[in-house]
Amino acid sequence: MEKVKLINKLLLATLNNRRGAAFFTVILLLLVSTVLGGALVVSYVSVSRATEIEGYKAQSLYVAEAGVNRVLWRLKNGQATSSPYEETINFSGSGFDGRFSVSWLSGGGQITLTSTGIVPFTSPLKERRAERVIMAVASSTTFQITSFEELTKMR
Amino acid sequence: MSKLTKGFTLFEIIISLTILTIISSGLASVFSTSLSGIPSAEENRLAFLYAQREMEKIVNTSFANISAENFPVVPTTYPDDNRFKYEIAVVEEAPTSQDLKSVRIRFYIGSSAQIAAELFNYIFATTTAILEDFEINGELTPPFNWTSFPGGQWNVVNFPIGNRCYQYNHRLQEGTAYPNWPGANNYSVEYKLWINRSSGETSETFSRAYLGGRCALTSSGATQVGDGYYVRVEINHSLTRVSLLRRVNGVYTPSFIGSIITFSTSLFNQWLYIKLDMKGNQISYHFGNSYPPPLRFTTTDNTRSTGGIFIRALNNLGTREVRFDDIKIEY
Repeated sequence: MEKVKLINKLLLATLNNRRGAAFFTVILLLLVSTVLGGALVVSYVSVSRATEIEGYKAQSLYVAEAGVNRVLWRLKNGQATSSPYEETINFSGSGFDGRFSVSWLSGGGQITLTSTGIVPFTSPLKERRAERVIMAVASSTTFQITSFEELTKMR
Repeated sequence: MSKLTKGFTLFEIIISLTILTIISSGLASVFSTSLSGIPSAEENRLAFLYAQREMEKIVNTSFANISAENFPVVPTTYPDDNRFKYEIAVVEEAPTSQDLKSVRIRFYIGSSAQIAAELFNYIFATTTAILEDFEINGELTPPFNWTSFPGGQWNVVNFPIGNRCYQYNHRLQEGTAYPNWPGANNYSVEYKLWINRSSGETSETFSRAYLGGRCALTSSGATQVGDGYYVRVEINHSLTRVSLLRRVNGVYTPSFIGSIITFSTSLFNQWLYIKLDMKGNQISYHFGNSYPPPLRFTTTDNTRSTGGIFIRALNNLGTREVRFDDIKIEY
Protein backbone atom coordinates (compact mmCIF):
# COMPACT_ATOMS: atom_id res chain seq x y z
CA MET A 1 0.00 0.00 0.00
CA GLU A 2 2.82 2.31 0.87
CA LYS A 3 4.46 1.42 -2.44
CA VAL A 4 1.34 2.37 -4.40
CA LYS A 5 1.10 5.70 -2.67
CA LEU A 6 4.72 6.36 -3.44
CA ILE A 7 4.23 5.54 -7.14
CA ASN A 8 1.18 7.82 -7.38
CA LYS A 9 3.09 10.64 -5.73
CA LEU A 10 5.96 10.21 -8.18
CA LEU A 11 3.61 10.15 -11.20
CA LEU A 12 1.81 13.29 -10.06
CA ALA A 13 5.07 15.09 -9.56
CA THR A 14 6.18 14.13 -13.09
CA LEU A 15 2.93 15.33 -14.64
CA ASN A 16 3.01 18.58 -12.71
CA ASN A 17 6.44 19.25 -14.18
CA ARG A 18 5.05 18.92 -17.83
CA ARG A 19 2.04 21.24 -17.50
CA GLY A 20 3.75 24.10 -19.47
CA ALA A 21 4.51 21.81 -22.44
CA ALA A 22 0.84 20.82 -22.71
CA PHE A 23 -0.22 24.46 -23.02
CA PHE A 24 2.12 25.04 -25.97
CA THR A 25 1.02 21.79 -27.59
CA VAL A 26 -2.60 23.00 -27.58
CA ILE A 27 -1.65 26.39 -29.03
CA LEU A 28 0.38 24.65 -31.75
CA LEU A 29 -2.50 22.31 -32.62
CA LEU A 30 -4.92 25.21 -32.89
CA LEU A 31 -2.45 27.11 -35.10
CA VAL A 32 -1.94 24.16 -37.44
CA SER A 33 -5.74 23.62 -37.67
CA THR A 34 -6.29 27.29 -38.50
CA VAL A 35 -3.63 27.28 -41.23
CA LEU A 36 -4.97 24.06 -42.76
CA GLY A 37 -8.57 25.33 -42.64
CA GLY A 38 -7.56 28.63 -44.20
CA ALA A 39 -5.69 26.87 -46.98
CA LEU A 40 -8.73 24.73 -47.71
CA VAL A 41 -11.00 27.76 -47.94
CA VAL A 42 -8.55 29.62 -50.23
CA SER A 43 -8.19 26.52 -52.42
CA TYR A 44 -11.99 26.10 -52.71
CA VAL A 45 -12.50 29.77 -53.61
CA SER A 46 -9.74 29.79 -56.25
CA VAL A 47 -10.97 26.56 -57.89
CA SER A 48 -14.53 27.92 -57.95
CA ARG A 49 -13.36 31.15 -59.51
CA ALA A 50 -11.28 29.34 -62.14
CA THR A 51 -14.32 27.21 -63.05
CA GLU A 52 -16.49 30.31 -63.25
CA ILE A 53 -14.02 32.01 -65.63
CA GLU A 54 -13.79 28.83 -67.74
CA GLY A 55 -17.57 28.99 -68.14
CA TYR A 56 -17.42 32.66 -69.15
CA LYS A 57 -14.76 31.82 -71.74
CA ALA A 58 -16.98 29.20 -73.36
CA GLN A 59 -19.95 31.55 -73.30
CA SER A 60 -18.03 34.49 -74.77
CA LEU A 61 -16.75 32.38 -77.68
CA TYR A 62 -20.28 31.45 -78.72
CA VAL A 63 -21.47 35.02 -78.14
CA ALA A 64 -18.75 36.20 -80.56
CA GLU A 65 -19.77 33.51 -83.06
CA ALA A 66 -23.41 34.57 -82.64
CA GLY A 67 -22.31 38.10 -83.58
CA VAL A 68 -20.78 36.92 -86.86
CA ASN A 69 -23.91 34.98 -87.79
CA ARG A 70 -26.19 37.82 -86.77
CA VAL A 71 -24.34 40.39 -88.89
CA LEU A 72 -24.11 38.07 -91.90
CA TRP A 73 -27.84 37.54 -91.67
CA ARG A 74 -28.42 41.30 -91.47
CA LEU A 75 -26.18 41.90 -94.48
CA LYS A 76 -27.93 39.20 -96.49
CA ASN A 77 -31.34 40.57 -95.65
CA GLY A 78 -30.42 44.21 -96.21
CA GLN A 79 -30.71 45.11 -92.53
CA ALA A 80 -27.12 45.96 -91.78
CA THR A 81 -26.57 49.16 -89.91
CA SER A 82 -23.20 50.88 -89.82
CA SER A 83 -20.21 48.98 -88.47
CA PRO A 84 -19.78 48.09 -85.63
CA TYR A 85 -23.01 46.33 -84.76
CA GLU A 86 -23.60 45.46 -81.10
CA GLU A 87 -26.17 43.35 -79.35
CA THR A 88 -26.72 42.20 -75.79
CA ILE A 89 -27.37 38.52 -75.17
CA ASN A 90 -29.45 37.84 -72.12
CA PHE A 91 -28.43 34.92 -69.94
CA SER A 92 -31.49 35.39 -67.77
CA GLY A 93 -31.22 32.03 -66.09
CA SER A 94 -27.64 32.72 -65.08
CA GLY A 95 -28.36 36.27 -63.93
CA PHE A 96 -26.03 38.21 -66.23
CA ASP A 97 -25.68 39.48 -69.81
CA GLY A 98 -23.20 38.88 -72.58
CA ARG A 99 -22.47 41.24 -75.45
CA PHE A 100 -21.00 41.06 -78.92
CA SER A 101 -19.57 43.85 -80.99
CA VAL A 102 -18.95 43.13 -84.65
CA SER A 103 -17.09 45.31 -87.14
CA TRP A 104 -16.71 44.41 -90.78
CA LEU A 105 -15.11 45.43 -94.06
CA SER A 106 -16.24 44.52 -97.56
CA GLY A 107 -14.07 44.29 -100.63
CA GLY A 108 -12.85 41.91 -103.30
CA GLY A 109 -16.01 39.82 -103.11
CA GLN A 110 -15.42 39.16 -99.41
CA ILE A 111 -16.65 40.40 -96.06
CA THR A 112 -14.14 40.33 -93.20
CA LEU A 113 -15.79 40.40 -89.79
CA THR A 114 -14.18 40.82 -86.40
CA SER A 115 -16.42 39.90 -83.48
CA THR A 116 -15.72 40.38 -79.78
CA GLY A 117 -17.78 38.48 -77.22
CA ILE A 118 -17.76 39.59 -73.57
CA VAL A 119 -19.34 37.65 -70.69
CA PRO A 120 -20.54 38.88 -68.27
CA PHE A 121 -20.79 42.24 -69.95
CA THR A 122 -21.76 44.13 -66.81
CA SER A 123 -18.87 42.92 -64.62
CA PRO A 124 -16.78 45.92 -63.56
CA LEU A 125 -13.74 43.72 -62.90
CA LYS A 126 -11.81 42.67 -65.97
CA GLU A 127 -10.42 39.61 -64.18
CA ARG A 128 -13.96 38.43 -63.41
CA ARG A 129 -15.11 38.28 -67.05
CA ALA A 130 -14.04 36.67 -70.31
CA GLU A 131 -13.45 38.34 -73.66
CA ARG A 132 -12.83 36.44 -76.88
CA VAL A 133 -12.26 37.79 -80.36
CA ILE A 134 -12.81 35.93 -83.62
CA MET A 135 -12.29 36.87 -87.23
CA ALA A 136 -14.40 35.38 -90.02
CA VAL A 137 -14.23 35.85 -93.77
CA ALA A 138 -17.39 35.30 -95.81
CA SER A 139 -18.36 35.54 -99.46
CA SER A 140 -20.20 38.79 -100.18
CA THR A 141 -22.42 36.93 -102.66
CA THR A 142 -23.42 33.78 -100.80
CA PHE A 143 -22.54 34.97 -97.26
CA GLN A 144 -20.93 31.61 -96.62
CA ILE A 145 -18.05 31.69 -94.15
CA THR A 146 -14.84 30.65 -95.86
CA SER A 147 -12.45 31.05 -92.93
CA PHE A 148 -12.80 31.36 -89.18
CA GLU A 149 -10.03 32.15 -86.71
CA GLU A 150 -9.77 33.08 -83.05
CA LEU A 151 -7.63 36.13 -82.39
CA THR A 152 -7.77 35.99 -78.58
CA LYS A 153 -4.47 35.38 -76.86
CA MET A 154 -5.50 32.94 -74.15
CA ARG A 155 -3.73 33.35 -70.87
CA MET B 1 -2.80 32.02 -9.07
CA SER B 2 0.34 30.00 -9.07
CA LYS B 3 -1.59 27.12 -10.69
CA LEU B 4 -2.62 29.29 -13.66
CA THR B 5 0.91 30.32 -14.46
CA LYS B 6 1.92 26.69 -14.58
CA GLY B 7 -0.52 25.86 -17.48
CA PHE B 8 -3.22 23.17 -17.74
CA THR B 9 -3.45 19.78 -16.16
CA LEU B 10 -3.70 16.65 -18.33
CA PHE B 11 -7.34 16.30 -17.36
CA GLU B 12 -8.10 19.86 -18.46
CA ILE B 13 -6.38 19.26 -21.80
CA ILE B 14 -8.35 16.09 -22.43
CA ILE B 15 -11.61 17.87 -21.58
CA SER B 16 -10.68 20.82 -23.86
CA LEU B 17 -9.79 18.56 -26.76
CA THR B 18 -13.04 16.64 -26.33
CA ILE B 19 -15.06 19.86 -26.36
CA LEU B 20 -13.12 21.15 -29.40
CA THR B 21 -13.73 17.86 -31.23
CA ILE B 22 -17.47 18.03 -30.53
CA ILE B 23 -17.67 21.66 -31.69
CA SER B 24 -15.64 21.07 -34.87
CA SER B 25 -17.67 17.97 -35.73
CA GLY B 26 -20.84 19.99 -35.36
CA LEU B 27 -19.48 22.81 -37.47
CA ALA B 28 -18.27 20.40 -40.15
CA SER B 29 -21.68 18.80 -40.23
CA VAL B 30 -23.41 22.18 -40.61
CA PHE B 31 -20.88 23.29 -43.24
CA SER B 32 -21.24 20.13 -45.31
CA THR B 33 -25.05 20.37 -45.17
CA SER B 34 -24.99 23.94 -46.45
CA LEU B 35 -22.48 23.05 -49.19
CA SER B 36 -24.40 20.02 -50.39
CA GLY B 37 -26.64 22.24 -52.54
CA ILE B 38 -23.69 23.90 -54.25
CA PRO B 39 -22.32 22.02 -57.27
CA SER B 40 -18.69 21.13 -57.22
CA ALA B 41 -16.27 22.83 -59.56
CA GLU B 42 -15.83 19.54 -61.40
CA GLU B 43 -19.57 19.22 -62.03
CA ASN B 44 -19.75 22.78 -63.32
CA ARG B 45 -16.81 22.15 -65.62
CA LEU B 46 -18.48 19.01 -66.95
CA ALA B 47 -21.76 20.87 -67.49
CA PHE B 48 -19.99 23.42 -69.71
CA LEU B 49 -18.13 20.67 -71.52
CA TYR B 50 -21.39 18.89 -72.34
CA ALA B 51 -23.05 22.17 -73.33
CA GLN B 52 -20.22 22.91 -75.76
CA ARG B 53 -20.45 19.39 -77.15
CA GLU B 54 -24.17 19.84 -77.84
CA MET B 55 -23.66 23.29 -79.36
CA GLU B 56 -21.03 21.95 -81.77
CA LYS B 57 -23.40 19.17 -82.80
CA ILE B 58 -26.08 21.75 -83.58
CA VAL B 59 -23.72 24.07 -85.45
CA ASN B 60 -22.80 21.12 -87.67
CA THR B 61 -26.42 20.04 -88.20
CA SER B 62 -28.25 21.05 -91.36
CA PHE B 63 -30.18 24.26 -90.80
CA ALA B 64 -33.53 22.61 -91.55
CA ASN B 65 -32.97 20.06 -88.78
CA ILE B 66 -32.42 22.71 -86.12
CA SER B 67 -35.94 22.83 -84.80
CA ALA B 68 -37.57 22.56 -81.40
CA GLU B 69 -39.09 19.18 -82.21
CA ASN B 70 -35.64 17.62 -82.47
CA PHE B 71 -34.46 18.72 -79.01
CA PRO B 72 -35.64 18.48 -75.38
CA VAL B 73 -37.55 21.65 -74.60
CA VAL B 74 -37.85 20.86 -70.88
CA PRO B 75 -35.07 19.61 -68.59
CA THR B 76 -34.41 16.02 -69.61
CA THR B 77 -31.80 13.55 -68.39
CA TYR B 78 -28.64 13.95 -70.44
CA PRO B 79 -28.15 10.60 -72.19
CA ASP B 80 -24.34 10.68 -71.95
CA ASP B 81 -24.26 11.36 -68.20
CA ASN B 82 -27.39 10.84 -66.16
CA ARG B 83 -26.13 13.06 -63.34
CA PHE B 84 -27.15 16.01 -65.56
CA LYS B 85 -30.33 17.34 -67.12
CA TYR B 86 -30.40 19.58 -70.19
CA GLU B 87 -32.74 21.53 -72.41
CA ILE B 88 -32.32 23.20 -75.80
CA ALA B 89 -34.46 26.13 -76.90
CA VAL B 90 -34.60 26.95 -80.62
CA VAL B 91 -36.24 30.20 -81.70
CA GLU B 92 -37.02 31.16 -85.30
CA GLU B 93 -35.63 34.70 -85.23
CA ALA B 94 -36.64 35.65 -88.76
CA PRO B 95 -40.14 34.33 -89.47
CA THR B 96 -40.20 35.96 -92.92
CA SER B 97 -36.86 34.92 -94.34
CA GLN B 98 -36.59 31.80 -92.13
CA ASP B 99 -32.82 31.87 -92.25
CA LEU B 100 -31.86 32.81 -88.70
CA LYS B 101 -32.39 30.79 -85.55
CA SER B 102 -31.20 31.24 -82.00
CA VAL B 103 -30.12 28.27 -79.91
CA ARG B 104 -29.89 28.30 -76.12
CA ILE B 105 -28.53 25.26 -74.28
CA ARG B 106 -28.91 24.87 -70.54
CA PHE B 107 -27.47 22.18 -68.29
CA TYR B 108 -28.58 21.39 -64.76
CA ILE B 109 -26.90 19.21 -62.16
CA GLY B 110 -29.15 16.50 -60.78
CA SER B 111 -32.60 17.77 -59.91
CA SER B 112 -31.37 21.29 -59.16
CA ALA B 113 -33.32 24.07 -60.86
CA GLN B 114 -30.19 26.22 -60.85
CA ILE B 115 -28.47 26.47 -64.24
CA ALA B 116 -24.94 25.07 -64.16
CA ALA B 117 -24.04 25.95 -67.77
CA GLU B 118 -25.76 28.06 -70.40
CA LEU B 119 -24.65 28.76 -73.97
CA PHE B 120 -26.23 30.91 -76.67
CA ASN B 121 -25.62 31.17 -80.39
CA TYR B 122 -27.27 32.44 -83.54
CA ILE B 123 -27.32 30.00 -86.43
CA PHE B 124 -27.45 31.50 -89.90
CA ALA B 125 -28.60 29.47 -92.87
CA THR B 126 -25.39 29.25 -94.79
CA THR B 127 -26.11 27.77 -98.15
CA THR B 128 -24.40 26.78 -101.30
CA ALA B 129 -25.70 28.97 -104.05
CA ILE B 130 -25.44 28.68 -107.78
CA LEU B 131 -26.43 31.70 -109.79
CA GLU B 132 -27.02 31.66 -113.53
CA ASP B 133 -27.21 35.25 -114.68
CA PHE B 134 -26.39 34.55 -118.36
CA GLU B 135 -23.59 37.12 -118.30
CA ILE B 136 -20.38 36.33 -120.17
CA ASN B 137 -18.35 36.81 -116.98
CA GLY B 138 -20.86 35.38 -114.57
CA GLU B 139 -20.77 36.50 -110.96
CA LEU B 140 -20.63 32.94 -109.80
CA THR B 141 -19.22 29.86 -111.43
CA PRO B 142 -19.93 27.46 -112.88
CA PRO B 143 -22.45 28.80 -115.34
CA PHE B 144 -24.82 26.12 -116.51
CA ASN B 145 -24.87 24.33 -119.79
CA TRP B 146 -28.50 24.23 -120.86
CA THR B 147 -30.41 21.52 -122.67
CA SER B 148 -33.41 23.03 -124.43
CA PHE B 149 -36.39 22.10 -126.59
CA PRO B 150 -37.45 22.84 -129.23
CA GLY B 151 -34.03 23.37 -130.73
CA GLY B 152 -33.05 26.89 -131.74
CA GLN B 153 -35.89 28.55 -129.82
CA TRP B 154 -33.97 29.45 -126.67
CA ASN B 155 -31.45 32.27 -126.87
CA VAL B 156 -29.43 34.45 -124.56
CA VAL B 157 -30.46 38.00 -125.50
CA ASN B 158 -29.60 41.49 -124.37
CA PHE B 159 -32.49 42.73 -122.32
CA PRO B 160 -32.72 45.40 -121.15
CA ILE B 161 -29.65 47.07 -122.63
CA GLY B 162 -26.53 45.91 -120.81
CA ASN B 163 -28.15 42.84 -119.25
CA ARG B 164 -28.27 39.34 -120.65
CA CYS B 165 -31.16 36.96 -120.06
CA TYR B 166 -32.59 33.74 -121.48
CA GLN B 167 -35.50 34.13 -123.92
CA TYR B 168 -37.94 31.63 -125.39
CA ASN B 169 -39.10 32.49 -128.89
CA HIS B 170 -41.43 29.82 -130.31
CA ARG B 171 -44.93 31.18 -130.75
CA LEU B 172 -47.21 28.22 -129.98
CA GLN B 173 -45.25 25.25 -128.64
CA GLU B 174 -44.34 24.96 -124.98
CA GLY B 175 -40.56 25.13 -124.57
CA THR B 176 -38.40 23.42 -121.98
CA ALA B 177 -34.89 24.07 -120.73
CA TYR B 178 -32.85 22.54 -117.93
CA PRO B 179 -29.26 22.93 -116.80
CA ASN B 180 -26.57 20.34 -116.19
CA TRP B 181 -27.12 20.50 -112.44
CA PRO B 182 -27.46 16.99 -110.99
CA GLY B 183 -30.24 17.92 -108.58
CA ALA B 184 -30.73 17.55 -104.82
CA ASN B 185 -33.32 16.69 -102.18
CA ASN B 186 -33.80 19.88 -100.20
CA TYR B 187 -33.22 23.16 -101.97
CA SER B 188 -34.80 26.32 -103.23
CA VAL B 189 -34.77 27.64 -106.77
CA GLU B 190 -35.73 31.12 -107.83
CA TYR B 191 -35.66 33.27 -110.95
CA LYS B 192 -36.90 36.53 -112.25
CA LEU B 193 -39.35 36.45 -115.09
CA TRP B 194 -40.36 39.00 -117.70
CA ILE B 195 -43.28 38.24 -119.99
CA ASN B 196 -43.08 40.75 -122.73
CA ARG B 197 -46.12 42.04 -124.61
CA SER B 198 -46.01 44.31 -127.65
CA SER B 199 -47.53 47.72 -127.30
CA GLY B 200 -51.27 47.85 -128.02
CA GLU B 201 -51.90 44.08 -127.80
CA THR B 202 -54.91 43.23 -125.61
CA SER B 203 -55.42 39.48 -126.14
CA GLU B 204 -57.04 37.37 -123.41
CA THR B 205 -54.86 34.43 -124.44
CA PHE B 206 -52.61 33.35 -121.60
CA SER B 207 -48.85 33.26 -121.79
CA ARG B 208 -47.30 30.87 -119.30
CA ALA B 209 -44.00 30.40 -117.53
CA TYR B 210 -42.99 27.61 -115.17
CA LEU B 211 -40.33 27.15 -112.55
CA GLY B 212 -39.76 23.49 -111.72
CA GLY B 213 -37.97 21.72 -108.89
CA ARG B 214 -37.17 18.10 -107.99
CA CYS B 215 -37.68 17.31 -111.65
CA ALA B 216 -36.75 13.94 -113.09
CA LEU B 217 -33.71 14.17 -115.32
CA THR B 218 -34.19 10.72 -116.83
CA SER B 219 -37.25 8.68 -117.73
CA SER B 220 -38.02 5.57 -115.71
CA GLY B 221 -41.26 3.58 -115.82
CA ALA B 222 -44.14 6.02 -115.44
CA THR B 223 -41.76 8.90 -114.71
CA GLN B 224 -40.99 11.19 -117.63
CA VAL B 225 -38.12 13.64 -117.91
CA GLY B 226 -39.32 16.88 -116.36
CA ASP B 227 -41.82 15.36 -113.93
CA GLY B 228 -41.68 17.41 -110.71
CA TYR B 229 -43.12 20.38 -108.83
CA TYR B 230 -43.83 23.59 -110.73
CA VAL B 231 -44.85 27.13 -109.96
CA ARG B 232 -46.91 28.33 -112.92
CA VAL B 233 -47.42 32.00 -113.82
CA GLU B 234 -50.16 32.78 -116.34
CA ILE B 235 -50.84 36.27 -117.66
CA ASN B 236 -53.39 37.62 -120.14
CA HIS B 237 -54.76 41.07 -120.80
CA SER B 238 -57.00 40.99 -117.72
CA LEU B 239 -55.25 39.12 -114.98
CA THR B 240 -52.27 37.29 -113.58
CA ARG B 241 -52.64 33.86 -112.01
CA VAL B 242 -50.04 31.92 -110.03
CA SER B 243 -50.32 28.36 -108.75
CA LEU B 244 -48.37 25.32 -107.60
CA LEU B 245 -48.81 22.00 -109.38
CA ARG B 246 -47.11 18.74 -110.25
CA ARG B 247 -46.18 17.20 -113.53
CA VAL B 248 -46.69 13.42 -113.43
CA ASN B 249 -45.89 11.09 -116.31
CA GLY B 250 -45.49 14.08 -118.60
CA VAL B 251 -48.86 15.63 -117.73
CA TYR B 252 -49.64 18.62 -115.46
CA THR B 253 -51.94 17.68 -112.59
CA PRO B 254 -54.52 20.14 -111.22
CA SER B 255 -53.03 22.84 -109.01
CA PHE B 256 -52.73 22.12 -105.30
CA ILE B 257 -55.93 23.18 -103.57
CA GLY B 258 -55.52 26.68 -102.19
CA SER B 259 -52.37 27.39 -104.16
CA ILE B 260 -53.97 29.58 -106.84
CA ILE B 261 -53.51 33.31 -106.39
CA THR B 262 -55.14 35.66 -108.87
CA PHE B 263 -54.20 39.31 -109.39
CA SER B 264 -56.72 41.48 -111.22
CA THR B 265 -54.01 43.14 -113.28
CA SER B 266 -51.82 41.78 -116.02
CA LEU B 267 -48.23 41.86 -114.88
CA PHE B 268 -46.67 42.06 -118.36
CA ASN B 269 -43.49 43.99 -119.08
CA GLN B 270 -41.99 43.96 -115.59
CA TRP B 271 -39.73 41.69 -113.62
CA LEU B 272 -41.58 39.15 -111.49
CA TYR B 273 -39.81 37.14 -108.79
CA ILE B 274 -40.66 33.49 -108.22
CA LYS B 275 -39.15 31.08 -105.73
CA LEU B 276 -39.86 27.40 -105.12
CA ASP B 277 -38.79 25.87 -101.76
CA MET B 278 -38.55 22.13 -101.17
CA LYS B 279 -37.66 20.87 -97.69
CA GLY B 280 -38.61 17.30 -96.90
CA ASN B 281 -42.26 16.90 -97.80
CA GLN B 282 -42.88 20.66 -97.46
CA ILE B 283 -43.29 22.49 -100.76
CA SER B 284 -43.71 26.27 -100.82
CA TYR B 285 -43.70 29.04 -103.36
CA HIS B 286 -43.04 32.77 -103.21
CA PHE B 287 -44.23 35.29 -105.77
CA GLY B 288 -44.07 39.06 -106.16
CA ASN B 289 -42.99 41.92 -108.37
CA SER B 290 -40.28 43.05 -105.96
CA TYR B 291 -37.44 41.20 -104.25
CA PRO B 292 -37.61 39.20 -102.03
CA PRO B 293 -40.99 37.84 -103.09
CA PRO B 294 -43.38 37.01 -100.22
CA LEU B 295 -44.37 33.47 -99.31
CA ARG B 296 -47.70 32.65 -100.94
CA PHE B 297 -48.42 28.99 -100.35
CA THR B 298 -47.11 25.93 -98.51
CA THR B 299 -48.26 22.34 -98.75
CA THR B 300 -46.99 18.86 -97.98
CA ASP B 301 -46.48 16.27 -100.66
CA ASN B 302 -44.39 13.14 -101.07
CA THR B 303 -44.63 12.63 -104.82
CA ARG B 304 -41.06 13.68 -105.56
CA SER B 305 -38.15 13.66 -103.15
CA THR B 306 -35.26 14.63 -105.42
CA GLY B 307 -34.44 16.03 -108.82
CA GLY B 308 -33.14 18.98 -110.80
CA ILE B 309 -34.64 22.23 -112.02
CA PHE B 310 -36.63 22.98 -115.17
CA ILE B 311 -37.91 26.13 -116.75
CA ARG B 312 -40.79 26.08 -119.21
CA ALA B 313 -42.49 28.74 -121.28
CA LEU B 314 -45.45 29.14 -123.59
CA ASN B 315 -45.74 32.46 -125.44
CA ASN B 316 -49.00 31.54 -127.19
CA LEU B 317 -48.97 34.72 -129.30
CA GLY B 318 -46.47 36.25 -131.71
CA THR B 319 -46.67 39.47 -129.74
CA ARG B 320 -45.23 37.86 -126.57
CA GLU B 321 -41.83 36.61 -125.38
CA VAL B 322 -40.95 34.97 -122.08
CA ARG B 323 -37.57 35.89 -120.56
CA PHE B 324 -35.75 34.42 -117.57
CA ASP B 325 -32.82 35.78 -115.57
CA ASP B 326 -30.84 35.31 -112.33
CA ILE B 327 -31.75 31.67 -111.84
CA LYS B 328 -30.48 30.85 -108.36
CA ILE B 329 -30.34 27.53 -106.55
CA GLU B 330 -29.63 27.37 -102.81
CA TYR B 331 -29.12 24.12 -100.95
